[in-house]
Amino acid sequence: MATDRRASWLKGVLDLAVLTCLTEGESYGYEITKKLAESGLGEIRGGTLYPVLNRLEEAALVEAEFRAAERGPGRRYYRLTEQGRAFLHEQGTAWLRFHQVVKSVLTKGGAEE
Amino acid sequence: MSEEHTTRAYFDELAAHLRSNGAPEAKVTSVVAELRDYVGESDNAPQTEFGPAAELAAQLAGHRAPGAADAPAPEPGAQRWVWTADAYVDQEMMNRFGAQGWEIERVDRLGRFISHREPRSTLRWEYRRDVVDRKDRATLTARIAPDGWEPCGHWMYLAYHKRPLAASTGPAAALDKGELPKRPRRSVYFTRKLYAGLLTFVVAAAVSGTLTWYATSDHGSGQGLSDGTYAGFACGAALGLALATRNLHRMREKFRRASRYPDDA
Repeated sequence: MATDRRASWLKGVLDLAVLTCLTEGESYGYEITKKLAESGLGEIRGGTLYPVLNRLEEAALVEAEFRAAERGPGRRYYRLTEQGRAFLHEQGTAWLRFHQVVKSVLTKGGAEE
Repeated sequence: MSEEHTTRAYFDELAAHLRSNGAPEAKVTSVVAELRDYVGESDNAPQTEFGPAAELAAQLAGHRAPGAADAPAPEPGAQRWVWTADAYVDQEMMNRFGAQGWEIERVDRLGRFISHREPRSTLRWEYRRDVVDRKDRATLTARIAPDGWEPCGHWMYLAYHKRPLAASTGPAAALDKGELPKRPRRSVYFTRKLYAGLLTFVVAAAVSGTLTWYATSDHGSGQGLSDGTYAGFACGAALGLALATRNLHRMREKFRRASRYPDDA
């Protein structure tokens, strides 16, 4: 039950978390999952990450390019677009406002950080 | 700090963590050597490729391969399918069905692929199979994880990994939900080669069993088998065992050479 709830929360914010991973420069799938894991969001599997990346790419919030490596296989690199940066700022702010409201409600109910 | 120094420090730390996790020295040496070779061929620092050394060591020591997150339960309404294929066609079948959206969750003890297809997902999957000893399995997984491969099961010396096709082709690889093929009717994909091998085994067992029975029965005047006969049995058994071992080794090499990786295409 607790795991399901956490998965639902993550589903609502994962696209913003992924966009945030790209604010410092381009990155590829495995590197993004590592950043998300290191930030405490847990291990995100490819079956969860790539649909999000696909949606972001189709919405022109990120640009992607497959680059062949000199040695070894190539990788698909993702880069934040200006539109994506604006979306992240707007939706990230909205999320934090929502978080504040929820926090206020739950604190009254006795929840602790 | 120089790149060489950073790399050396990373692998020293990795080795120390592996030792403290109880890995034998031979394993520490071989794992570090293989991962160091891999990093030598890539353009990235080991920290970038594999993440923190302590985390990698914990994954290698145990029991959970890198990237092997606990598989979440498929969504309600997901199609489930359990199927199997012999090692002559498993790669072809996995990739054929992966292209239809079937994701393999794991391989069970009988070598069957436990799969599902999410109702709303449009992901295609690609698979690779490697021939690898059990002790080297986690190292292989760590080595190929940066390219998006996640473990999805193993059977004997065959290790299977999967990744969404989107990892290399993006949204262009999405499934067209309107043309989604139905779940295949067949769930067993065994080739003539497998049946021929099984038939040979059954015939050999039947012949040797019959001859043994005849030699030891009254009909075959088998009362009091001579020492020579017993010696013959022992020699035959030893020879058979040696031939079987050689053939199994050859078969393993054949499967290793037959491994095809999507990245090579």
